Amino acid sequence: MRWLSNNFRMLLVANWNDEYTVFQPDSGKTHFFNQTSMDMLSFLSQRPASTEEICDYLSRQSGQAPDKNFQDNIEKILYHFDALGLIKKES
Amino acid sequence: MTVNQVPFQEFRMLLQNQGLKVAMGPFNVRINTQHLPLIKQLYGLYSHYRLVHDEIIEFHVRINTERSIRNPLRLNVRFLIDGQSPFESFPEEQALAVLEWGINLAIAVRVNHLLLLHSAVVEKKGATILFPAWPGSGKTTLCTALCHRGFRLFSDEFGLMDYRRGVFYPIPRLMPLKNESIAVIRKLLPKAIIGQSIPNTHKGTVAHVRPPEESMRLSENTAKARWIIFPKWIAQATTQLEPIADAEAFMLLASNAFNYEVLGTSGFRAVEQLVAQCDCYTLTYSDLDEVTTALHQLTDES
Amino acid sequence: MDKDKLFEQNNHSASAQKMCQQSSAKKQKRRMLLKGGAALPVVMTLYSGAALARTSNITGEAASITEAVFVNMGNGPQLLCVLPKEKLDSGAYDLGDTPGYTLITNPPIHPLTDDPATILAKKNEQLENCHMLGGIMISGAAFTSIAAKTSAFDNLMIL
Repeated sequence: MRWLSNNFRMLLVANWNDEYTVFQPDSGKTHFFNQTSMDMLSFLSQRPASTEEICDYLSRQSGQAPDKNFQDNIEKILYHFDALGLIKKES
Repeated sequence: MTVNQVPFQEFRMLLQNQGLKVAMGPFNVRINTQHLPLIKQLYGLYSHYRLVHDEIIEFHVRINTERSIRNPLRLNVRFLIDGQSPFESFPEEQALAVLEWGINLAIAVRVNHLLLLHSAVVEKKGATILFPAWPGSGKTTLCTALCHRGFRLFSDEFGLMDYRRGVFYPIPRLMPLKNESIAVIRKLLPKAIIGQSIPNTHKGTVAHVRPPEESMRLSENTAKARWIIFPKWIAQATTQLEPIADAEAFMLLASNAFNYEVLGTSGFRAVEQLVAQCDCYTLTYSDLDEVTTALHQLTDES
Repeated sequence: MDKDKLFEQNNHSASAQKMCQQSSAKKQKRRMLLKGGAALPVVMTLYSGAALARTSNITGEAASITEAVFVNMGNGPQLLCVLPKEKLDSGAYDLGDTPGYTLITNPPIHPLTDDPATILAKKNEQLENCHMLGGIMISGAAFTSIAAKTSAFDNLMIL
């Protein structure tokens, strides 16, 4: 299964020293993202990607090896993003 | 012309007949009531309010008296706005508190052309400090102390931001001290004009402080925000101002606004603008002398 | 900070100078909400209606079961089911001056043995049972704000 961002270009983003507040116009909700969350969304706005590909990208960004715990956390956030309408499954 | 330039009899006639029309910051309010004790209280506490003539009135409010259903020998008062009653009636002794809360409610619910923060606001040297806070954080007490000691009162309750112009409107009004803070302020500021204590309200005992004359006189002078300080009164705490992250300040401020969600994109941009232009702190304090000194120091050194 | 140190600060001490310098150099300071900059992704969403809940005991139902408050009194998570005084025209709920509540015990949730999917399903069943009582679930933000103003929830421990 692959994920892709949903209306990423519509988001209003305020950058506060690599922390972000993000307004999502289609839901009216405001979110706080750290740099890793923003990297995830930004990555998925370029092209669809699987959980493994996202983990691989993020671990290269942070210089950390993608262990099972890391992958579980990324997966949780992906489902959370999906519930918020920020990303969707590739059809 | 201000209320204190009008003889009491004329003031009473206005309230009892065509309505007393006064400016409250950017809003004009027309008040009607037949309740003489309330009229007397208003004459003393509204003395520096500007009377309005031939201007659009935003809020038409009324305090009516009625017999209590539970006890027909007792009188209750009911707040009406545009003829509608938004909440229950209250014992007549609480008439002033009911009027002030009713006007607060009207502003909180109806004003959507401004970003409406739940915040005390004071000004010094042309820049404002916002004190966004939850009820019970002591912002009215803090605001009362500051506006009698070198700061100009904008509001103890509302931060009214015109986000198109990036400025705050003053809306100096009576400041309702609650419970222990009444005695604290009476002792700290013996010259402050404070109305009679109103016991047994749903917030305990309340007494209203008359805004300083200077703040009322300058109530059409807007200012930009320079500091956002989230205050918290904690017993025995020493005064501490601690910088906080901009992202945290953003989330706290957005959750503090009455109409952030209603404003949508404009609300987000307004909060972004505010956080970008302000220094953001948390403040814990217990001693009003100490905190006043610390805030003067902060504003003087900027 | 003790009183002497505060006095120092109020008299242009080093800490006061630092504070002033910090103010003027605000945008270069890189203060961060998450200390150290977490490698794991973090997302926090502003609770809808939080400001309203802070000024009254009026709130909306939590947006999803994942935002709802569960209380663990030793028998596993139990949904905090708040019983509103009335539903307002706006769709929000007035909880009254001292909000009433009940804890939903059925079905019991066993956090150590139930798998995550079972826990989620049971939480949703608890929510259905709460709705049948005329109650609503509330978010942690609404809970905190109401708890700060009333003693209604004083006996609860949050899971």
